[in-house]
Amino acid sequence: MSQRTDLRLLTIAGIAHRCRQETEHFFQRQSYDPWYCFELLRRAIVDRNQRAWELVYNQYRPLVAGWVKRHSAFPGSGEEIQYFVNRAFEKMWMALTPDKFSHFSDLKSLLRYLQMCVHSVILDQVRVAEQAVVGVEAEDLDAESNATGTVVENQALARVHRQELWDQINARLHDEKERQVVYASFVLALKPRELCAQFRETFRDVQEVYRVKENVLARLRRDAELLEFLDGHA
Amino acid sequence: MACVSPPEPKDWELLTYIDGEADQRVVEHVEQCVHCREKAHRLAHLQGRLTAELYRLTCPSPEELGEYHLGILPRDRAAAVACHLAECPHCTREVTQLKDYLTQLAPTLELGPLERIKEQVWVLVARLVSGGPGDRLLKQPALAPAHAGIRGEEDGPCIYQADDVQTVIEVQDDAERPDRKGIFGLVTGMDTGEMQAHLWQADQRVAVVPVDELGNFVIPNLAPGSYELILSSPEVEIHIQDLQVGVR
Repeated sequence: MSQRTDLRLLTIAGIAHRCRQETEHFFQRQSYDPWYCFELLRRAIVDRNQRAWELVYNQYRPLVAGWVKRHSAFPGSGEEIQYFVNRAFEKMWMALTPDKFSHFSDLKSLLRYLQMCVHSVILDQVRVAEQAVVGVEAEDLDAESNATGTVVENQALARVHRQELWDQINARLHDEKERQVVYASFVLALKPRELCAQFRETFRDVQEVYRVKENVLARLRRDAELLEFLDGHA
Repeated sequence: MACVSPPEPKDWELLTYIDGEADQRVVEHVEQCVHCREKAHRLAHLQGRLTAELYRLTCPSPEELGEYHLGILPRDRAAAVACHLAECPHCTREVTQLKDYLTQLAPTLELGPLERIKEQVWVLVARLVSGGPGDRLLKQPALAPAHAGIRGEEDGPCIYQADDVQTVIEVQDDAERPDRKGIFGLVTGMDTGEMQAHLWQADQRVAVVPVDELGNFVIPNLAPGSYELILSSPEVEIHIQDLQVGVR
């Protein structure tokens, strides 16, 4: 027989066919040639070929579903497997631009990226749930003090407004210690004891953290403009 | 309302009370004093509101952390993420979780050395050597109109060659459905004992039929159109691209 055909001479159908066959070999634990699947992915990602992408999706959907099922955060996510499968492919399609493709020298590295996308979409969900818990805790306090506001409203706060609040608070801080206390307390949600351990070179002891926090909170409470901004998004 | 038992605790002491870190004196005071309890509550409320608004505001997305871990972030972003990781336990935990997850899934992308026993398949693209439009044009009178793409029953069989393997394709009307076509094929030049013929159209596989030991195969009930025929055996695969079936 002659030398192997240049993969780029094959049609998408021809590549997809061979990719399917080779994947079957792999699942039968036989040696397989990964370059057809790599070429299918290359056409999908570099050429932005929608048909190639659909074939990639059909080819790898069952594999990705298995990956979702094995993620430790999946059982508590409250979502269906298929939801994360679709999100993972969407994420890969959006994130893996043609210029990034040069980072991937083989099929294994591309599939590893797809695994990372599975992890990312599940973590997106986990973060939303965490944010909701933080919001609920704040709302519980609001309810006790007869304040108004809902969890949904908290969640719906635009990131740009949150960033604006962060900028306004930063502008009212006097030094690096205050910045670290505010950042660690409210952005990282650390208790002063955890904060002290995290930034042990900055603070002598946990009491110092409490005193810095006391000063900053007193200043923020006296700041009508800031409180108005904060309440405006409650 | 005033403190029931002055001096009232300092704000920082109330903060320790909120965190469950206060000493016994502060705890007893706050439990007895409505004024100080309400003050502690207001402090807790402010903290809760700030945390709700700012929680993880500066964290990179899971995807950016993932690209950082895989080493494909641009250098400046990688440096920024590294700085963030140095102080964010949440993102550090997520990267560790990703690392563990990828390690756990690594076997799904690997074969063991003992499993590497199968030879790789040769893929060949066949070329039309007889029966195509060019072949027909040679046989036409000098001024006859050229109907490009007419093949099949009107033109007789097409012959495709890939290395030593020859494939003869004939398109005929389907005996049971006059509006449909059938492909009759013959493969010579190789062992066809385990061969299958796969027919694709518009990137979808539409038919799979076995090729018999003499090299014959039939694919019935086809709509006219452009197809790709793939003859697949354990060692060799032959791709016949742009196969026109009943297209005028």
